[in-house]
Amino acid sequence: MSTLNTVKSPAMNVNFFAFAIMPNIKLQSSDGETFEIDVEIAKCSVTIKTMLEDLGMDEEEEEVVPLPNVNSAILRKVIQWATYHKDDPPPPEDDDNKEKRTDDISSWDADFLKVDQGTLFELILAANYLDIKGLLDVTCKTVANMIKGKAPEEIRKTFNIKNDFTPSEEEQVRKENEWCEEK
Amino acid sequence: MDLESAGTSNGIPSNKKLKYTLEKDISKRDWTILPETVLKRIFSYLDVQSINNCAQLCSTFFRLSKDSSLYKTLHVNYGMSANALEYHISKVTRPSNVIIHYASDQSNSDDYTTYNQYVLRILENYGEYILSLELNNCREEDVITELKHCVNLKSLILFNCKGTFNALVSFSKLTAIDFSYCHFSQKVVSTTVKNNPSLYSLYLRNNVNINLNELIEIITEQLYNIKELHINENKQLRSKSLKLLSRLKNLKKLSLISNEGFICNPEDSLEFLAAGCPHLESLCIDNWSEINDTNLISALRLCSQLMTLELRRTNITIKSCKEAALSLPLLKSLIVDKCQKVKKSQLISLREDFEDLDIPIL
Repeated sequence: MSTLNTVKSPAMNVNFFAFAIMPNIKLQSSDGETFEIDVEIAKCSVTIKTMLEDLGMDEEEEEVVPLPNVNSAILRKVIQWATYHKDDPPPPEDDDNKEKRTDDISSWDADFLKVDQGTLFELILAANYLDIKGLLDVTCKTVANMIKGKAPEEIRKTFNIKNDFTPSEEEQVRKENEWCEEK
Repeated sequence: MDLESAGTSNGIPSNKKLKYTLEKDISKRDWTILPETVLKRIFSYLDVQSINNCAQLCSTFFRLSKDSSLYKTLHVNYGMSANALEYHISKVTRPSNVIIHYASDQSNSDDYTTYNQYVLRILENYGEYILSLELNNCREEDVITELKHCVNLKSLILFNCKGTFNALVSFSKLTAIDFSYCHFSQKVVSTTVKNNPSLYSLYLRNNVNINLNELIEIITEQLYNIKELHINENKQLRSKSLKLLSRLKNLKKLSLISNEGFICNPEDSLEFLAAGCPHLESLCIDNWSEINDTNLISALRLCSQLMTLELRRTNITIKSCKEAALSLPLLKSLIVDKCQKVKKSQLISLREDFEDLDIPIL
C-alpha cells in the first residue's frame, strides 16, 4: 500500500528500492524547507511518533509534518544525529540514584557537537521540543562539561548570564557562599 | 508536551523572530530562557561546587540550585577546607553515591584526624542511603571499620586501600565490586564475594592477598549470574580454575590479564570456557605466552556472540586474527598488541580486507 503511494511522489526516483522497503515521511522546518526521511528514524522523536500515532497522521498519506519550532539548519543536524543513532538501543530511564557521568560521550557525538554555542543552544531546544532523549542527554552533558571547573564569572561570560539579583538576594547568595571564599 | 507553546513559553516571541535574533546576535543569547526541565537536567550532571557556582549568577539558577534532588553525589577530598566539607555534607543529606579521597602519596604522614571526623560523620549518618561507594587511598582503620553502616550498598570501589576490611563481610546486596591495588587481610575478598549472590560484575587488579584460585571456585559454585569478570592479579592461575570459569554461562565480558605472566598452559581450557559461556561478548587476554593459534582458534569457533576481542602479549600469528575476522559474525573490534609473531603490515592489510572491523594499529 505505502509502496504505491511513495512511487507517486516526484522525489522518489533516486533510491527507489530503499524507499519501497521503508516508508518515508516529510518534515517541514520553520523556514519552509522539507526533509524526506525514513519514518523509523523520525520516530526517535517521541513528539513526531505521538503525532503519527495519536493525531491520525497516516504514513500512507502525502502529508507533511510541520515543525514550526525547528529551523532547517538545526533540523538537518537533528536528522544527521538520528540517522547515525537509528540502531541504538533505547536510552536507559533516568535513575536519580546513579552518579551522573559526563565523561561517557562517544567520540562521534563529541565531534558532532563541536559547534558554536548558538547551534548547541538550538539543538537543546530542538531535542527538547522533539522529545529525543538521547540527543537531549548528550547536549546537556556537553553544556555541563562546559560549566564544570569554571569560576562563576567565567560561566557568566561563557553563557551570557545576566545578574538579576535584588540587593537582598545578593546578600543571601553571598552569605551562602562564604565557605568557598577562603580557598 | 504542549507542542504549540513549546517555543513561545518563557517569553520567547514568535519562532521566526527567535531564530532570526539567535543567528544575528549570539552575544545576546540568554541561556536562562531554556525550559526549566532542561536546565534541571543540565544541573543534574553537575557536582556540588559547580551548582554552587551557577547559583551565584542569577535568580533562576539560584532558585534551581535549591532543589534537593540535585544533590545525590557526595564527593569529599582530604584537601578540602573544614567549611567546604561542612557545606558539602549539609547540602547532600541523602547521598546515593559517596566518593572519598585520601592523599595518593602516603610517604609524608598526613594528619587525617580532622578529615576522618567528617568521613566518619558521613558513614554514620548517611550510611544507609549510600548505594555506591568509592574509597581511594585509605589506610585509616577507624574509617574502614565504619563501612559497616553502608548496609544497602550495591556498588563498591576500593582503590589503593589497606586494612582488615572485616566490615566488608557484612555486605550482602553488592552487584558490583571493583578492587584495585588494595592490601586485604586474607579471606576477606573470598568471603565478601561469597556473601553477595547478586554480584554481576567483579573487577580485580593488582591486589595483595587475594587467593585467585579459591575465589574462582567460589564464583563458579555460587555466582552463576556474574556477567563481567576482570582478573589482573599477580597470582598463578591453575588451568583447573580456567576450566571452572566455563560454568559461568551468563558471562558477557571476560578479561584475563597478568603482569607477571600466566604460568599455566591453557591446553583445552580455553575451548572449555568458550563452550560454557555462549554469551561472551568481550574477551581480553594479556601476557599469556602459552596462547597460540591452535588453542585460540579452536576456542574462537565457539564464541559466536563475540563483539570485542583483545589479544596482547600472546603467541598467536596473523592466522588467529584472520580466523577471528572471518568466523565471528558480530565482531566489531579486534585489538592485537605486542604479539611478536603478528607484524604490523599484516594487521594493516587485514584492516583493508575487513573495512567494517575496527582494527587499531598500535
